Amino acid sequence: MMPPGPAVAPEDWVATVEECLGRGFVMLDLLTAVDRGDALEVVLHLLRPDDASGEFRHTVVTGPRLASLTAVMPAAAWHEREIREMFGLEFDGLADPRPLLLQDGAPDHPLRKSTPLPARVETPWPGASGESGGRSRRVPGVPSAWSQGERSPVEGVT
Amino acid sequence: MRSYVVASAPHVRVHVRDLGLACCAVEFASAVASGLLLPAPVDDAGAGALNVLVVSGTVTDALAPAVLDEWQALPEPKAAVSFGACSNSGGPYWDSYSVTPGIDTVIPVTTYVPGCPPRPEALVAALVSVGGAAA
Amino acid sequence: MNAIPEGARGFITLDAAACTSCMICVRECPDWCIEIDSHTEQVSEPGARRPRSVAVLDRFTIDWSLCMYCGICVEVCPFDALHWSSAYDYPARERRELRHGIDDLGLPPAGSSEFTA
Repeated sequence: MMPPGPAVAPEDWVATVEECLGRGFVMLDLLTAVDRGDALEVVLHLLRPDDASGEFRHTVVTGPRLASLTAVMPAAAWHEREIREMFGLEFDGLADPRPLLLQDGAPDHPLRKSTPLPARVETPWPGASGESGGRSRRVPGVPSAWSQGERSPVEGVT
Repeated sequence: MRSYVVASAPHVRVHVRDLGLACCAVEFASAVASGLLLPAPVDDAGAGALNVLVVSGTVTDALAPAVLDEWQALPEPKAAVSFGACSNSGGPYWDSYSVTPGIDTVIPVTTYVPGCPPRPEALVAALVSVGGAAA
Repeated sequence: MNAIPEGARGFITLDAAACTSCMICVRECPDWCIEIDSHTEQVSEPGARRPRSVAVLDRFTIDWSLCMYCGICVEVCPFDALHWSSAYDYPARERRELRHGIDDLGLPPAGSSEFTA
């Protein structure tokens, strides 16, 4: 599901949010990202405490960087740190880019759809049995490229 | 550590360390609030009563060492109850990059309580099972 | 002890005779906690021109240590072979004991609240 409204151009991202702040939408409700495959969609929801109304803004980023919102909204720092570690998007101007949630040894950017879940690669899908004619069926949650390659993209798993 | 008497089986008295890590912990609270488990003074449960670690909820790899610490700090005689699908096996998060696939990979489990979440009555049944056997 | 509400979702029973091994529950299960093995047999019936292929259920397991009791399997079964039971008390000493097969799933677990001998 896409949030309502047209996507904001990445170069207009900070100015757009600043304009919302100026109209009283000062409460950061949600700042997250969605992996759309060929791009990352960054989604923001702001609330206006005066009348409890909200506004969505979203931008579609095809490159590796986006301007940080922390210059106009310091509270965005935690969320941008989370997006950075979970999706691998760099935020220009984010003063403290340290990982927020992931500990050492966690996979790089685990919420990217291209990041394999080792358990799903290693565990045979029970739904695959009983197939006639040896047709292989797509395993839910596992991109076909993970299992079609000669070796698994997961280190140590063949 | 709190001490409880099982209302339906008063001979079962246990010292419980409740490690509530996610939503299943609500069911533990419900067992107490609904009177299935009656709080007892620590002395009343008696020396030698079983010490039970109840792990309810999702254990992440980041938290697993804390679960191990709790288990090692628990005095003998002791038993571990895994309460709910997440602590049993990882449950709905069995494939997650961050969730421990069952606390039995970290500590020895005496009893696995199935459910997502299990009913509060299921906790009582498990405590009777481990506490009754020890009594 | 409080009464368990009617319709409480504690356990799922299998009517093995109704199951056609169609695999829909297995494939819809978000947790991958159901497994089915089956084979087909040719059944000749008097008057029929040729033998009929019948699926025979060899193995049906639900792993209760994984199950999140969402009920999707019960909902999607086209043959009503899966049914909710309110049995809740079937703790196990070993995790593998929570993997129930055809014989275990026919009735609520022995010794549980819903078990009747």
